[in-house]
Amino acid sequence: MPSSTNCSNRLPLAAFAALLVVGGCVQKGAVPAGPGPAPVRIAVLPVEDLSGAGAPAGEVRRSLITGLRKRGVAVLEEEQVEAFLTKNRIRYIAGIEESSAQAWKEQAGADAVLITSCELYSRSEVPKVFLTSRLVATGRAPEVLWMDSAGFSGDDTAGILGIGLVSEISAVADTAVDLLSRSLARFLSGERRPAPPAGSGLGPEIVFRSSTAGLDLRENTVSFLLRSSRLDERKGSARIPVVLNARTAKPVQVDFAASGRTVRGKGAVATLRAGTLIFAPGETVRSIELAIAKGTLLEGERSVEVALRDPRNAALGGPAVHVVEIADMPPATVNLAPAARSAPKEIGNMTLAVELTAGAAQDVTVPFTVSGTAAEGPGYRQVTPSPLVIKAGELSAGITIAVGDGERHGPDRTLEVTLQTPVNALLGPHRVVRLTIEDRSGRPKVAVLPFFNESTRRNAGEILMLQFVKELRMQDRFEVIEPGLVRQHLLNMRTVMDRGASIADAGPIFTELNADLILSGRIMDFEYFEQSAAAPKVDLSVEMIERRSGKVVWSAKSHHRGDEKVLLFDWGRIKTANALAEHMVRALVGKMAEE
Amino acid sequence: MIRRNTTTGRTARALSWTLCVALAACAPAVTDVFHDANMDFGAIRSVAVMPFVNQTREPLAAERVRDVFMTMLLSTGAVYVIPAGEVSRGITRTGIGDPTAPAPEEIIKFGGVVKADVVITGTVREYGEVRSGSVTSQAISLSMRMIETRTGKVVWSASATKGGVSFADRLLGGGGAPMNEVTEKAVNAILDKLFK
Repeated sequence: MPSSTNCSNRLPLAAFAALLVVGGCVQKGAVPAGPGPAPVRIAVLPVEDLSGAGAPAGEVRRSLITGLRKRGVAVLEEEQVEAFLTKNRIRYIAGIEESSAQAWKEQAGADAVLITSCELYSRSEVPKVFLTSRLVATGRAPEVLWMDSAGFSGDDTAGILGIGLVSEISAVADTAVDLLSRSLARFLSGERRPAPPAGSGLGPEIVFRSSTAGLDLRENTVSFLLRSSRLDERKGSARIPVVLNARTAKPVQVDFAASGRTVRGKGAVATLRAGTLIFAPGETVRSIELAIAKGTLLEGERSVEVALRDPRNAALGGPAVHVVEIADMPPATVNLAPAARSAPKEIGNMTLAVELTAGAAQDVTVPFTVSGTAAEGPGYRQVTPSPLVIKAGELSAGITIAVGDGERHGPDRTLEVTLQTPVNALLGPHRVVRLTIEDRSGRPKVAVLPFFNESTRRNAGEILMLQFVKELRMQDRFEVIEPGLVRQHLLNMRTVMDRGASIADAGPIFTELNADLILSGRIMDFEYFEQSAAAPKVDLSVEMIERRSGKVVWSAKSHHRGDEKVLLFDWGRIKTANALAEHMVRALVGKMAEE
Repeated sequence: MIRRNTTTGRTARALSWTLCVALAACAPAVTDVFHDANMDFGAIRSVAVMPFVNQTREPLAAERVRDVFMTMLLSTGAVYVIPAGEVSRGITRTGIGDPTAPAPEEIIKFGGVVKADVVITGTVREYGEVRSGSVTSQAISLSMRMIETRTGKVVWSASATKGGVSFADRLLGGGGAPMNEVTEKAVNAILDKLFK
């Protein structure tokens, strides 16, 4: 049966959809007539030949252009595209990167680029063709808007006695092109189809999922919000906040206890019974209660260390130790309590403590500023106005900042709070706190690397990479980086990975591409026996490396043959390695999304 | 008469006991697993799997078995398996001449670079089709060793052989189980010996 799947990207559609509406929606099967705004213009790049069999890439491209124009899609002229490629000296046609994406927009006037790969072009007795295409937006940040595959075999519609058998390769290619152009035209007209189900009985045999990885495969961490706090022993107790960096679907537990020898001076310091904090699903903040013992003499500085350990369903983040300094005769200076280096966006309102080292007879006024890369308004809102007032006799007050949703998911934002010279107290040494606001609400960005190819089939690594890009795009929970951008950065970094990604290679890829996850793997078999009736065979293994931990958080191995699901008379047989790989990758990606 | 029966009975009993002792002596002892009694296996957190030695005719046999082993070991959740790319980088950085048979001092240095508690090396002795008369089947035979990176000493070793031409294959024909399934069974057997 012909295979065709569809996927679409929601986020940048706000801009692209606006273009469609303003530019005039293209009606199916009709060229917009009469005066009006110009339609969306697509540049169809030359087809990349991954078949290894000398596919007529030019014919396939012309067929694609004709099919799109027939459906009312505005396509740039071939000569215009060739002239642009020559002028900008572009030889790589399997992807676009940042500079060429802008040039396409500014010089050629293309709103998007259609990149097509011919994965299979078999001229055997039963001809077979398999194509994969994606539409990438041009402009400042190239993004994959649509991606689909279409495969057709001459005997897909053979029927009884082989009456429907197609023996001309050109007819088979035209059918595959027709399926693709129809899918793209439907997308451009605004139609959205749900992703096909993953269950096909071709799932992986071996699967690993890290227990600390969330549903989006990014690592969950639990830590103290602050490295230390300072208290007046007269308060009697302290609440030490502990935070999770994201809402989780499973409960997270972490043990805590007083640790180390940090008591200076005499007397009992505090009471803390070791215990376990439990974060229910959806909770991100809990507190540890510490009862402070009152001293009877001038004991000087005392402190207690509280440590987190043995987290379940999360990893230990930083800081994992919190020091509570208990003062009874502090001098009168004002400091910002040291805070954690990062906090989750879900924390909502965040209060930074400003502490006096001794009670004052008058109100202490502390001016302060809030700055950083987070934008005021969307990034944060200053709830406590400057200057902060610490009432007479009090030892601390808080600066409350409401953490906002921020701009679209991008690099982590920072906040910097700086104390200025106070009135009625001295400024202490701890006057600046810098925090990174971690945003886990957006979809994690995945960079898919070409698979390491151990098979006898040329380009199998690139074929698998394209299939994973397509299937991950169909899952709403991931944002896939355009493969052209990945390639550009790998070349810029002169990265050579001869056996797969190493931790040293992964670091720069995470930073340069702002990726949260890297997907890579190896392909051991990608066999399609053109001249015989033997079933195609695919054997692959895949792993996902996560940014924060630098570790593999998900891996799997899958191997299947095309005749595994045959019921009767070849019903259910998968005829090509490309279609088999498509089913296997869909099952693997479906497995990734399961807890 | 009575005298002859007593003698026959005694002889029969003596022969029975002799047969029992002989059969017990012939029972094979398990000799293909070694566990260092002084090693705290519970302290192992991260494992690096080196490229395996390939003694078979199939050029990719060692890579295929290594791929299956690494994924299955990781999926147990008991230890973290360092990715193959990181192992390759570590081999290059430490200048190991023969990664399939590293020297103890090379392993100590390598362990520090990739942050592995132990290193596993292996040998694939047999992989692929075996024939018995007109019947064919798939078989695999492999052995592995675990070496502690702190000392460079072998702390565990085991071997496993699976597949081959069974009685059912001989009787009913058929090509036996596919190679991937036989490989997974052999790796499972090795992992059982590691975690027992």
